[in-house]
Amino acid sequence: MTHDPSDIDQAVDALVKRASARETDEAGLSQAVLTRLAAEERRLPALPAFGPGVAAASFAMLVLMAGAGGYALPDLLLEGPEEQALALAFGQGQVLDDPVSRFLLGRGG
Amino acid sequence: MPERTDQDEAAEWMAAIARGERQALALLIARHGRGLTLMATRYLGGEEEAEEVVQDVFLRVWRNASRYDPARAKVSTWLYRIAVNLCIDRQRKRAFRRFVGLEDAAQEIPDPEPGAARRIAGQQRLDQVRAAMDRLPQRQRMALLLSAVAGLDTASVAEAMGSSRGAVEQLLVRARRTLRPLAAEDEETS
Repeated sequence: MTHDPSDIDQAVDALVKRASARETDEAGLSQAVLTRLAAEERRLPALPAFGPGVAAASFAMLVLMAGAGGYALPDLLLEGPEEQALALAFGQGQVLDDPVSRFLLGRGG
Repeated sequence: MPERTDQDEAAEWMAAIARGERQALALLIARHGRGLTLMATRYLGGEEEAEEVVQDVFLRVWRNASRYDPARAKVSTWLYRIAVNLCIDRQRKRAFRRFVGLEDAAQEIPDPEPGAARRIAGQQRLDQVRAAMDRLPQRQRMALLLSAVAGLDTASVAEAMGSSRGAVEQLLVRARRTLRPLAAEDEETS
């Protein structure tokens, strides 16, 4: 039996679609996104002290210090927004409760 | 009066999101969340990681909605382009983490189906398809998922992948050719 190539392609696509199907939870996704948004908005606007340049420099130092000091590198390999949020928070003096932050902020360690 | 399309509606939601209306973001998630989740799950091979990526897509939409230009791309294409970039970033990070010993190579493609599902008739065939998809070169896999699972046309796949139409057509031809024997077997047994 011969098949039209476009029929075969459609059969492949249908099989790929079946193999990729799973239950998804759009309501849960929406809730998760809105929760993260709310968390970001609570955290970021209340940070008046320094500009992003200071934050970026502090974050670069934090990465260097963490590497040199054997701190938890996996925690620093975060996605962009988290890195940015951490950098911003750190640059503005919010990440205080660990030895690296205390050292970099000149508060002893 | 011309009929209002899904794209018109989605473009209005984008404008509303740019004004800070969260309800519009929820509507966008309801329409595109499932497709993005399925694509990312199959591309990355893990549900949890895929869900994080899809959340990140919508967070980026929230932050950058004002930059969306309906004259340049459909909303769906824009969303998938963000998702493609985030998936690629994830894979690069995963490769780096594996390189520095922070992640076990065996974790790369976690088993998405717990034991009970495997016993369902026909599941074995789909497992074979998933395994074959996981072995495809990354760009072939991405093109196939965007086309077959997300339902994008070739031009939109090309736009989402930052590639040319011709290159995407080639990727799709190769990916489908690899999976044809499985489709033929599936047809014979069903």
